[in-house]
Amino acid sequence: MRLKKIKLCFLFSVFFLSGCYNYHELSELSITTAIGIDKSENGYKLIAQVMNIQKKNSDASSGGNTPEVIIYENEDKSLLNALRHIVLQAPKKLYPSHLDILLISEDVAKEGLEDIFEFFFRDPNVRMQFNVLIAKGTTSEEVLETLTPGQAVSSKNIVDSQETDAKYLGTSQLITFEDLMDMYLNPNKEIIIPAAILNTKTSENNSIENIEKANDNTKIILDSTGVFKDSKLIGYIDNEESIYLNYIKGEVLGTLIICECDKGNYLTSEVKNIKSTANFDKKEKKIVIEVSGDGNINEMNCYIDVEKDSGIEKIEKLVNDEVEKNINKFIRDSISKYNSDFFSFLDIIYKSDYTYYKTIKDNWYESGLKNLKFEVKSKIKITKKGNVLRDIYDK
Amino acid sequence: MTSENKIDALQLCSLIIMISLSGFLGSGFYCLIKAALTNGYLSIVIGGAIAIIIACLLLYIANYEIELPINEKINKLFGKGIGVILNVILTILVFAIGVFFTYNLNNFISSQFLSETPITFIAIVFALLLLYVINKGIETLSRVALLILVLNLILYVIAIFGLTPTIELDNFLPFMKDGLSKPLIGSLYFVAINIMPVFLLLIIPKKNIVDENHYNKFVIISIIISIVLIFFIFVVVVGNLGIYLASSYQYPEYIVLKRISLFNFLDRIENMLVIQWIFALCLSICIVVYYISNTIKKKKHNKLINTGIILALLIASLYSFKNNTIFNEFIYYYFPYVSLTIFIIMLLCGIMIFIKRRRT
Repeated sequence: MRLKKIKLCFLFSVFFLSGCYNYHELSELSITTAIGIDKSENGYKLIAQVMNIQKKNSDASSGGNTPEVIIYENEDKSLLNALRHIVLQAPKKLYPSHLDILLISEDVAKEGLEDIFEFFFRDPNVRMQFNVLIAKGTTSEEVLETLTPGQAVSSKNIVDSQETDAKYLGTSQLITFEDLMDMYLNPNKEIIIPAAILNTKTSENNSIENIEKANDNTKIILDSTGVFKDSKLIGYIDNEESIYLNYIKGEVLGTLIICECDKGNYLTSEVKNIKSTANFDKKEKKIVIEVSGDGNINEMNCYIDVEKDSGIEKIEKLVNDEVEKNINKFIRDSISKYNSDFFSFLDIIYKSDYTYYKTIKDNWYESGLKNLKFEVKSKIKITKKGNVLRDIYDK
Repeated sequence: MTSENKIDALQLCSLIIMISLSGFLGSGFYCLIKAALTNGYLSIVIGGAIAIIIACLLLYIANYEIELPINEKINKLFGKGIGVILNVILTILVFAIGVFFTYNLNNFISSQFLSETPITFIAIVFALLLLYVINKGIETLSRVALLILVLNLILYVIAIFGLTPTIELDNFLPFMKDGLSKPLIGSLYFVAINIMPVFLLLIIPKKNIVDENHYNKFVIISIIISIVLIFFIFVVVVGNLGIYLASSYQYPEYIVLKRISLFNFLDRIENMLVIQWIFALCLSICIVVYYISNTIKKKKHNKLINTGIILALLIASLYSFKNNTIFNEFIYYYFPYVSLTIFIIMLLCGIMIFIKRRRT
């Protein structure tokens, strides 16, 4: 009986001790919402955007305006060393498990992303579901220290912006770190990363004055998509081209299509429920991109009789021709300009026709991609005319 | 083995499913992916067919002298001399299986949850827990296994439900690009790591199963259930992560659970869902210890023997493999030979039983 009690006590203390071993209180951790990586003379400059937990307490007592986030930075050859040395300035250890975004500067992206992949991929404390962006025309430090109006934490601002954009405009693809790793590890894919810019640089972008004004303040804007070849940044495709790229990748949920219905007059259609696929036709050895969706007539600055079926068909033809023409042009221009398969056509061929893939993979960039045939088929249906039955130009 | 150690057929099924599943975490998946790549699901199907054949062999052995456990059957079939040698070989191989399970469990906890805690500490805590469980006897262990199976199935269904909508079927293409050779090799790995350890349950005589009339049916059904469960695990992991990410992670079955977001608000539930693996591994280690202690079989010092075995497993798992790379290499290159030897011994038993039955 006595031995049993001793055993029980021992087990009890072991279980409690093991729970207490290396225990971290939440107040001992600095919740990191964003990490930025820039190039520096010493190697890398790591910028960490950390939640300011003191803010709520101090605002309650003093009614003052303190920022929601604090920026810490450090330079080192090694990213982990740079991150670890931030404890010399920060009172608490950085806790990256709630990371929202990773911002990479252009300089780092142009040199190659392998070091960054290595760092984040190995760490078991980091969840891979954070978004990745490039700081275009600026440094990630400037972007992260910008206080954004509307959303107190700038990293959250960027994530929300991306999600809204993906739903309604389709320019920005939500690339998580895991998606990025998949693109990197897949030998048949090239990387793409959305980019963010600052609309204007002022000396106040990192101070409270930036969010106290209705206009004329520095904002973080999603702009273009960075395209890569062999994990190095080679250029950007603009917002419109990003939409066409997302069509090819099947990532567009909803977007606007503007087409010329008359000389100098335009028609705008909002397309939803978009389903786009890119497949490889084994017989004709060509990539076939099919786009379908439901379109609304949102704005029409020319006269087309929408009370008749022929009018609706004319609009559908205009919209579909516009989509086909633009995607075709985008693919041709991008291939000749960048010669990079960021469309992942080689991966499509690999999955559809392995035999043909083996014949072209060794000369993909020399001849395969340049001579690749493709066809775009758009079958968008106009389902709604808005609140009116007929065109207002029909008086 | 006393007649008091009675267990239910359903409890036996739960033990079979736990042992089959436990081998798949980490190394089992790694070997399957490395051998068969995207066609690993084919390997599981082919392996499933081979598993049924092996199950029939094990049932044939189980149905001979139903009151005896496997070690005593071997003594009876081969005589004292050769029987002892075979039992020693089997015990060593079972010990190797135990080291595999123990290392897998400790490394998983250490690398994914408690990266700052020394692995020794984690190993000791689990060893104490397992010692407590195994000292309660096979009846308690099998009842616990049945309860845990119910819990595991619930967690499993939640995981599958959360991950199925995000499966991309493209991740399984191209289909059989290297022919049937790689899926066949993969199937052998699947059988070696997930199915062969099921033989451990032969240490429980058929006489001790309460519902022994349905013994054969329950064993086959439970093996089929394990194969189906593992099949779906493979499909959701590769379907969600893709082959390149799935083969890069140490424990992709855990990583993929991080993607689950139930009803758009239930996030970060991977740590709860992964408990099913921890339970399965713990139970499998208990069965290994039970097997070895029943082979040694000294009724008086049973608890001391259990302590010794767990201590030996603990030390072997901590010091046999310096790191996960060596462990994965051992499992990929050498563990199939462990299973092959066990299979050969079982086959010899089957042949001897067949010869003896023909003579009588």
